[in-house]
Amino acid sequence: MIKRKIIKLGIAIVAVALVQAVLLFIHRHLPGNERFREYARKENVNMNALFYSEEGHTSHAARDLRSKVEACKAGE
Amino acid sequence: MKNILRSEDIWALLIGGALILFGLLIFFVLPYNDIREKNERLTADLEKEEQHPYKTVDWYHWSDAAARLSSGQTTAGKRVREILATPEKWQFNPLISLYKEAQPEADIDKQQLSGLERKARDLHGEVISRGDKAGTDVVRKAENASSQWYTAHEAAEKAKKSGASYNLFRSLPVLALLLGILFAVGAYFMKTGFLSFLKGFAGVFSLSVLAFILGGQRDISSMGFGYPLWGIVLGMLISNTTGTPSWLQPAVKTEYYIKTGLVLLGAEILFGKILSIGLPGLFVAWIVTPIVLVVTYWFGQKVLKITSRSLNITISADMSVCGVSAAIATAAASGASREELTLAVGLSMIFTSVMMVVLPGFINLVGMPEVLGGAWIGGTIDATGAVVAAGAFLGETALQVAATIKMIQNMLIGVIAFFVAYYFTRNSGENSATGSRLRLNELWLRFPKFIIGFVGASVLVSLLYHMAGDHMGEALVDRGLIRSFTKDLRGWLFCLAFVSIGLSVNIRELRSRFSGGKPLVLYACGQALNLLLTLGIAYLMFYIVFPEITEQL
Repeated sequence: MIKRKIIKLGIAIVAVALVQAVLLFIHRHLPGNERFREYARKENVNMNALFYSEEGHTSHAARDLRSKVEACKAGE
Repeated sequence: MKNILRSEDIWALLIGGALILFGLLIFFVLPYNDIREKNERLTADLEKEEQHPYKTVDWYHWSDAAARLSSGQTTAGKRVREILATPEKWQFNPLISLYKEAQPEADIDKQQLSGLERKARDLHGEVISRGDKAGTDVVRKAENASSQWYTAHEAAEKAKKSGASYNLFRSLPVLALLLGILFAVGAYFMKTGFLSFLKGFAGVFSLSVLAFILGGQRDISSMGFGYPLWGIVLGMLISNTTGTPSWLQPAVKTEYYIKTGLVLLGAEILFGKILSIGLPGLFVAWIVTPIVLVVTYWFGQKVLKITSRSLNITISADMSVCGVSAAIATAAASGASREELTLAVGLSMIFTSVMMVVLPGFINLVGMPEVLGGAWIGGTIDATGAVVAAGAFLGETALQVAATIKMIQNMLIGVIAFFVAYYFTRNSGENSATGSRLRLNELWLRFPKFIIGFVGASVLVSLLYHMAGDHMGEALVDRGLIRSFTKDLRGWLFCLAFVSIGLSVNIRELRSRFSGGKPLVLYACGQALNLLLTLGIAYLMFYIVFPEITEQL
């Protein structure tokens, strides 16, 4: 019984690893993927961020944008 | 009273509320005076430096110090951050995610840097002694020298940061014990048993650490497959092969962790931060999102005839608002099952993984303007990290517009969760079948109470941010309370929840929820509408109604 369970777990792990490998293969062959990865790495983006407060760039980006608009308004 | 203390909702509210109050004490109340003094000093120093016709070395110094000023840098703040740290990213060696020794600094960089600084300071001294104004040769040289030094200084700081040491083998047991005891108290009142919960918690926490490590592998992470997916996969591997061990069961409490995490998430929704690009951004995020949500839900009910309303609303919110975090909030608000949340999270991650590469590629191919492309990306791609990276692919302005629109859209989570909870409470059970109206006290009994903590935390922290002012608010709330406390703590709670989901999800049940691919069709059709409507409204707002704002970006 225990042996069967362990074999089942082993098969499941291999299956997950295979699915992951296939997904990675597809992702790497998406048009523009290399450039996308390069930009994400350069900007040091947290790709796992689920919410804006987890990603360092969002607040900076919003602040910079506001500064731009305010600077333009002040210049008018 | 006894019955109240047996409710998971109430314990989520109590624990979430207590954690936020603790965070406010450490990151807002205690360091307030010290941060205010530092902020005043930095503002005065910066004003003095701004009298010069260019950005001097000191201006860069003070400006950086002001941008880094944070209540997370106090002794207590640093200690809390160390304990809450999540595993780091890694490429080939997973141990790097838990332990790294300090890297020696490169001496040559230091020498080069001090040389550049000396040169910039000498030239600045020359400008002052000659009393030169903007436009002269010496001023231009001094400006270039300062800027050159700053570029090198930034690179050195980045290298220093990446060379910093950490040891999670020390902090993780402390965190497991603290969280375990905190949640075990609630479990005791909910009749789970203090010690049996603690024992199970050790196992669930260990699986969460493993989920963080797997999601931190750089290749996997670059696809956007983070800890939520790995938490579910790990849990499912165990529950659907060997079966979830009985000693683990007492700590498999998905809703308990999710609802507490959502109360903490409330503290991160700051209403004062949304008006950066004014009306066009608000229209794109706040008009399109509710329309897409309602139309997709209607399409699921009336056209696809999806039998589960909670599955329908979870996928609709997940696709139209901001992916996983919106799915968690609406699933908890509508009482969706674990299988339904699993489906919604899986769909969101797979679609995001493709869209974040293909959408900016398509925008480049057709030569769409940066502002429009950024708005389109911000309004349609689910995950925040994916939005920032896809925006960066197009350029600086696109990144700024995309990230800001995503941020404005994220704010909707609380409002949507509240209305979903109200709608599902009103239309649930026998009353919806008989069509009779719910009495107010019945409505209150059925209403998910954690929503009150979620919305309350957002209102309280937004008010404190507003009262402290922009600079102080950023130092105490944004970089302090949120980035040093709630964000990591919430990440742990969501990860515990995803592992718990996996440990209690049955693969046959999951397959039955997929019912002939209807959830996939719902997601794809909703996303198609989202893409079209967002593009149309973004064009209308940024180029027809408010072109003067677009010109400034």
